[in-house]
Amino acid sequence: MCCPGCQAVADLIISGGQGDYYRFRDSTAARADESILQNLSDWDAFDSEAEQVDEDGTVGSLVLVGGIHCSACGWLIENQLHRIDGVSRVQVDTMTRRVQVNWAPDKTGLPAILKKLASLGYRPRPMSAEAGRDLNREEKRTAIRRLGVAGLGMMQVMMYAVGTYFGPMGDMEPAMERYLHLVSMLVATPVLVFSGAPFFTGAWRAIRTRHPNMDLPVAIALALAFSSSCYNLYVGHGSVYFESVTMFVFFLLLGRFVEMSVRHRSCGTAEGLAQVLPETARVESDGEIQSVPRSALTEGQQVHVRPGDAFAADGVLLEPAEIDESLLTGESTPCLREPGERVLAGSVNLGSATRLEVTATGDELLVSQLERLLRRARAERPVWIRMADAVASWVIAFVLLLAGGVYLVWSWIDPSQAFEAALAVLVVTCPCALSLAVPSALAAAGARLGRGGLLVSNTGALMDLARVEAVLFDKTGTLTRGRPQITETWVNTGHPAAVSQDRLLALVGAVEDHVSHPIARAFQDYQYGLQVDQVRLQPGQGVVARVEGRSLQIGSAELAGADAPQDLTPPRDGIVIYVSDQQGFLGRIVLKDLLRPEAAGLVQSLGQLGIGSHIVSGDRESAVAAVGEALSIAACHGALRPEQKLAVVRQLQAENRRVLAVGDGVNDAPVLGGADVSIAMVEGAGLAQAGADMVLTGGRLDRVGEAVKVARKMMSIIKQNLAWALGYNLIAIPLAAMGLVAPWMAAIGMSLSSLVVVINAGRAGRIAKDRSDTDSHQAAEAWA
Amino acid sequence: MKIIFVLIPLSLILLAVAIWGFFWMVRNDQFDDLESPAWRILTDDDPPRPDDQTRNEP
Repeated sequence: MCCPGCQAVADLIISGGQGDYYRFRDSTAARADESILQNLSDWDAFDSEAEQVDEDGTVGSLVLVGGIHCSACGWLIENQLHRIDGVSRVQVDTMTRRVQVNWAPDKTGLPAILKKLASLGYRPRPMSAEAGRDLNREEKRTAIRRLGVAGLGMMQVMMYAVGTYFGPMGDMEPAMERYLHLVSMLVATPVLVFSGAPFFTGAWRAIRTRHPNMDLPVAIALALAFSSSCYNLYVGHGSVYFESVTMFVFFLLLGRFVEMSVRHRSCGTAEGLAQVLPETARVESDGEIQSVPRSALTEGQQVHVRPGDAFAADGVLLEPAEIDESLLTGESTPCLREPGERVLAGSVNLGSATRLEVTATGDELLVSQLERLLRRARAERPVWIRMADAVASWVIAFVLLLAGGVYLVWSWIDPSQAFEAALAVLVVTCPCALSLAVPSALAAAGARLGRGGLLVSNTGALMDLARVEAVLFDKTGTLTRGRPQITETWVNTGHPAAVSQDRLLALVGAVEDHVSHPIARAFQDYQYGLQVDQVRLQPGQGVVARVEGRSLQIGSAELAGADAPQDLTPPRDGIVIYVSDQQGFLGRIVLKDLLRPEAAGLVQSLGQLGIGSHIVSGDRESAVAAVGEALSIAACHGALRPEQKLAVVRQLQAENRRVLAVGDGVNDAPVLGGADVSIAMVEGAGLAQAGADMVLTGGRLDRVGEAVKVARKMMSIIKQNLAWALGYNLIAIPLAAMGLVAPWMAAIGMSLSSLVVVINAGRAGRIAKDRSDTDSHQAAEAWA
Repeated sequence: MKIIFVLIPLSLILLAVAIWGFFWMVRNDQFDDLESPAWRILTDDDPPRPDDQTRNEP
């Protein structure tokens, strides 16, 4: 408690919530009383916070839920929360462990939902970026501790076990052997109890909710192996499996740890949205300017924004400003806004200092809305994972029943063999090969793509990539380079001190070096260290400066194009920069956002693979159509808002087509989240990358087509692997059930099967590389 | 081989010390970042500019 006030409130809440507390304690015997008490008060404190009213009259909240392991947890949470009267919608995002809940405010409330989550054994927190980070750190540290204990324990127990393996060959006294076993048990116990705890809690959760998960057979196998070893040690004969127990725990934890790290990483980038916005804003009150935290901004306040700063809130401009909205719209050209026009938080003020009146803050910001749209899109993604999971839970239930049946049958035939046979069934079916079959091939393909510059953050998406039938491209920054480049230079030879084209570019480049403006970047190759002074920005117009004695005006036609010859017609599209000095018009430079050179080839090779290309852009219809024409893409959608882009995705998905989305801006984030597979450009916004399964570095668009080929090759390898693993299990299970397989043979068989699968997957990576290279060569020849 | 009866308990004590040391390291943030230390050897002593594509400095 931070203060007596909180103490009093907490006391009040606890006395009011006593009944619930005892009810929940019955179902969560393992939990410490203090943590429940503390959580209870936490939940009521969050009652009014973190809620937003949705358009359909329900109240919604985003809740961060600690303890989500896999998509089965998502299923469980969805199921259980829907049982609360009044809850209308539950969406679980297991990647970032966020749950979006909507409910009817007159029937239930956030505390009831949070309590339900806690009673299931999860740790709910209504969303805030800070809570997400803390929970991650806590979870990661606990996992590392568990892993460390299991690793150290495993090494020790293995050492003792190797000693006993040589026992029969040498002259080991029985007393010595028992002693080594005893010590093994001493070390294996903390490994099982401390490191293996997650499997037992997971299994307990599965039993309580009657939804079998992967933890259940693992926990049963661990418990059986350990207790039978203890029993055999006590009676003095029979085999002991302490080394198997510790190894099993260690390798399972290792897998879990890798999975958790990936999940945390994607969560970390999703938090990046907050970094887009400045933490503080300069607010004018009573004639003074004060710096206040962004969260304290309220509607109607006047905020001063310095040049180069980002806007902290959505608002209406009070003074003209030139702003860069590329983060939000993906549109690289800065725009000039007049007083009374709207600006969005996250845009950057390029011109001189300006003021705005705040109209929206916090959750109402367009950026926040986009973020929510992204999360919702990702949670609503049509997933095969859930199906695979349902199948897995059936398989597990089947294996458990089988093991039980084998035990019963054998205890009828020969009770002394019953236990070993049942254990062998559990171990031999331990779905290691089955569960390795997919991830090892995914890892090989992911590594292969990573070397080519396509970083895969969600390897599962590779399976969808193999089945993609439609690709949606964003225009600006994805198909195009996303920043203007010089395409044409025209010099006025009639000027008394006329300059060459190169000299003109050098003059302009020298000035643009002093300007922080997207256009200025186009000139970075033309900076030769010329003497520049008296640089003055003219917002919305351009820049005025002295270079090597010339007073230059660089910018719009109004600023510098007054003396331009009449017959100089403006180009069809692009940005035109006029340059003049005190003696008249010097020349003009045209900048255009060019298509990436590989774009056309990519669209063609995708077409060969039977994949249709579409363009979805927020840009003007005409600009989009021009790009579509250049790339011979018929399906072009321009002037779309982010939710309209998402609708295009949904429509394609409704036609039962798997959709790949490629984009870069914050406005693309919902599309990237909603598509079956998504690729973000590394130059793009952090939020877009957070919503994407893969990130393309180096701007090599042709890698996208290559990735599809690699993914398709990978799928065939996965099928081989699955066939092998299934075949192995089909042969091994009957043998084990008949009691022909001792647990140690089962363990070796399992390892060999896993090894075959892993080696085959490694081959997959190599083959994918060679074949896809020749494929692309053939494609290049075919199109040459 | 009687010495084994002394050496193994000794190894257990060492194991306990190792685990205590490991927990201590975890508590002191040593394992919070598992990825960047591997790359640190490749980076220069000067932190790279966040985006060296831009030349914004006046």
